[in-house]
Amino acid sequence: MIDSVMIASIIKGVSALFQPMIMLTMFLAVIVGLIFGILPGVSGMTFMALMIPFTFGMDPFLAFVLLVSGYAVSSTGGSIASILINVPGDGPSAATLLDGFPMTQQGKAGRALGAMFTASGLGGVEGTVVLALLIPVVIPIVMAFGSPECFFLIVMGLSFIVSLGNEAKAKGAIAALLGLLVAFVGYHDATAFPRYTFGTAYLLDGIEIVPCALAIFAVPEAMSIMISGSAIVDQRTVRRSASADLWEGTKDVFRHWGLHIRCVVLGVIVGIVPGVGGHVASWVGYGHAKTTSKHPETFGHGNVEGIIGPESAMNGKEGGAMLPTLALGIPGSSGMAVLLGAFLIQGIQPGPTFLRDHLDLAWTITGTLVLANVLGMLICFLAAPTLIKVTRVRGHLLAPFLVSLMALGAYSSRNSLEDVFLTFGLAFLAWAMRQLGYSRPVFFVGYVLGGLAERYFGISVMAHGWKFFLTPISLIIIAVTIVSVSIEPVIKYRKRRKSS
Amino acid sequence: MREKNLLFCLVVFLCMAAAFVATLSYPPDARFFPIIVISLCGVVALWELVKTYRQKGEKSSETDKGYRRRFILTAAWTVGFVLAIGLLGFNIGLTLITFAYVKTHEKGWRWAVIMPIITFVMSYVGFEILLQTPLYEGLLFL
Amino acid sequence: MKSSLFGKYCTLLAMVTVFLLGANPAEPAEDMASFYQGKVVRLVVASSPGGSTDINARLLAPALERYLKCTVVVVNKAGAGGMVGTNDFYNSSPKDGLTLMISMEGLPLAQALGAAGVRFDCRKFGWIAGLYKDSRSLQVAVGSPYKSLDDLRKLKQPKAAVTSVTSPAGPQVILAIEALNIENAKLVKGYPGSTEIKLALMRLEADFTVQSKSHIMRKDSFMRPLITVEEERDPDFPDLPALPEMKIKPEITKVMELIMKGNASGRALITPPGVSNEKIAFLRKVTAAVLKDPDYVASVKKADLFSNPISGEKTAESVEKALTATPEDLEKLRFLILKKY
Repeated sequence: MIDSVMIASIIKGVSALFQPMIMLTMFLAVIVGLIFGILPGVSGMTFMALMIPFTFGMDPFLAFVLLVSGYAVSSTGGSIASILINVPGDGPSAATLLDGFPMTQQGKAGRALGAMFTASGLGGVEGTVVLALLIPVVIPIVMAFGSPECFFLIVMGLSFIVSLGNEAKAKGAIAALLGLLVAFVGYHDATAFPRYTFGTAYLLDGIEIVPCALAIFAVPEAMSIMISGSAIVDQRTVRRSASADLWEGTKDVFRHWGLHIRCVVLGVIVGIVPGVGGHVASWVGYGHAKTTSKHPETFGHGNVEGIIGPESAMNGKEGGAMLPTLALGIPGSSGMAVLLGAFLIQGIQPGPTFLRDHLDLAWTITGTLVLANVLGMLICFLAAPTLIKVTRVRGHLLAPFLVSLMALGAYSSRNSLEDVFLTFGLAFLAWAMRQLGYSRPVFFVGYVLGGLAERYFGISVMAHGWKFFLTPISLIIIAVTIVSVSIEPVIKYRKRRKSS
Repeated sequence: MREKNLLFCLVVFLCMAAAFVATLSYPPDARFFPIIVISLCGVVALWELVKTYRQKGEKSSETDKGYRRRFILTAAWTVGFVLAIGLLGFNIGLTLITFAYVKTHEKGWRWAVIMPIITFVMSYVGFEILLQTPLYEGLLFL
Repeated sequence: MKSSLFGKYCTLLAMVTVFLLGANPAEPAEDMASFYQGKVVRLVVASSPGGSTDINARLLAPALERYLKCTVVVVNKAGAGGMVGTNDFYNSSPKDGLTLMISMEGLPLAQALGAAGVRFDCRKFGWIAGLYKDSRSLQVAVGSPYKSLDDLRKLKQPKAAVTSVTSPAGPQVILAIEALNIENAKLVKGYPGSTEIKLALMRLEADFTVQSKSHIMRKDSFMRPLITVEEERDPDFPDLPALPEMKIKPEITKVMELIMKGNASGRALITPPGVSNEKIAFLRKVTAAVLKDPDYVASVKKADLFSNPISGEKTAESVEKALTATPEDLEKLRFLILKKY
């Protein structure tokens, strides 16, 4: 309810953002956050963890502007690397490179970046608006999503594997099943039994997502550049004006406004449910974009919708994830868990009393999410023409830099040399899959979601018995999944009938 | 391509067979999902193997042979990068291997000097100092 | 006469010299202090950045820097609930005393259980100081219909939420079920963390759990404790009975002791095996001073972390006790924790 107290809180919270020190902090944090995002193996979470010691003794408003600004834009940085050099800055950014990098190879890097900046920037803003509107109802929403609902959300993400694959269904199935099997490496959550660890301690925690993403997507492309020796963009490709291209990409988001909004909503829903994870958001966004596209066959070959979908969902998710963190003190994502630590250091306890006692700070944080995303967007637009030049660098100069970056990224995620060995070892499997037409995105989705699906299936059966799927929300998600998966085959069937 | 796909499917099938046997020794809860996935994967791999076997193969051309040679060289360089990191650590290993790679593939000294410097700055200044990530120092220096 | 006097003077001079050289108590400590001065000390944390152990390490680091006059760098090495980092620390760290670690809770218990992945012997670590030993309680959701243990006992099949049976809290959940006679209890295993467990209890997907007191410290907490699952009452919750005060089955007593001893080391500052006793003694002295440092204590309090320091000697003693159980007792423990549920 909007009353004088609420209005006073909004005014105090938002006006705090426009003080010179706060604005300067936000500006610097956004730049550093973008850099953290671009570098593989380090993420917004790492940014916050490193900055937290600096916030001791800081004014709470300044502290949270610092942390939230850098965190909010880090996934945008990750997507820049995905699009330009096919190196996912973090796990969720892997969905963006499926169409982002092919666009770069076609000389349309500017358009890809423009679409990404706009979709992610606006997605972050809209997700925050939804966050603000949903504050009064956050508790019932979070309570409504138990383990069965989480399981079916993940199954919905997995179902998009069907849409991700190409025509060779058997190869797609093999890729998906191999990905699922890789997800099972490590401790089984429920029994703590180690599976497929070959007696090593290293594999007890399974295969980390950043080394896997680098191995599956980035290293094979770097090898391809080393083999050909040519730049990412063929020298014969017509050079386009970077700013015109960026603007074209921005317009693309408005051309596909319905897709953008739907994916933001999907992202918010995924974000609100703790435990489901950012990977689900980006892949659900990608899968939804493909299943609802008029030209699904162009996905994976440079369709801008393949950027808009995951980016909108990924950034919308952060607004959603902030919701249970602020309102319940329950982190909606791993990044929010780190932010929760920052709250405690400041002596502030998120939860039901937080919104009563620190509503102005809540609005400052909300405003920071909005402004940081907008500022990040502007900085990226200005820096993009320079960044795009990387795509024209000769292959034999770029390749060693990329391989070095990948090795550093693989190492940094856990400070583990074994991760470097694993990355480059697994890359040869990915290379074979690439050459033989086995879908790597399908493999990766199976890997990312398989472990989660098994976990929530196990908990659902233990807690509810075999009738766990009969909850109302589970049935709705099942229905949405069936409809989403069957749209494309039904349309194809109808087209075939019409033509015959 | 046909032969390569046959080999890939065979390797996958054999791996699934080995994994199936290993999984049987796991507790029931821990083996439930993996057994299903392994069985399905094994069956589909076998199907793909048979389907590919029945296809006609293509003759390999000169272009293919040239590509194969370049792939082997690239694979060797990739392994070289990993060995350099393992033996000499990130800062020195990456710098030296970058120098070796660029000098081998580019004429002149300009880029052979610039690229290693960029790599070193990224590694030491970027990761070790700014990101406070102490990097592996290399087996030879431990 | 002169020569014998001279000889006596020489002998006396030699004795004084030997005495001064051999018995100067200040030199070892000065050597240790100067050893650390200007050096870089790595403080390993076997968990991801941002968690409470990591925050504790980042608060401890500047305090150690002040006392040791060196640079302390926090290094994260997460994985497998701390197992990956601990194994690496045990097997690969240099023995020069410049690599320290904040151990995760429950390491001796994990070793006693023979948990998969344990590649260390806790008895060989150098235990410098215990930083914090968590206190756990049996908790239900505030909005749940359960007001007492009897309410749980009346259920047909009470469900206990747990991350995994080998997590630090896992054995205590099973201990609570066995010791408190909660019949037909079922474990719902696999929750990613305490956040998801809290939500599960609030939704009544599960009925109870055993977890850290950090979840019940605040007035608006969602959890309500019923009993402290520790050997003694928690000073922060003096009205809550401790486990030994309840009527527990005699056969469970030994298991209870093993589990309590196995978790007694808590979160501790340790050195890898092979570090000299002099360095360990020096580090114990310095750390004891750090843990009483007003700035450090204030920063820990402000970060809402707990701190109940235990001396290194006492910590090492509890580790030793935890790992010297009879094979029969260990077998009983393993059956209960790893097989029965």
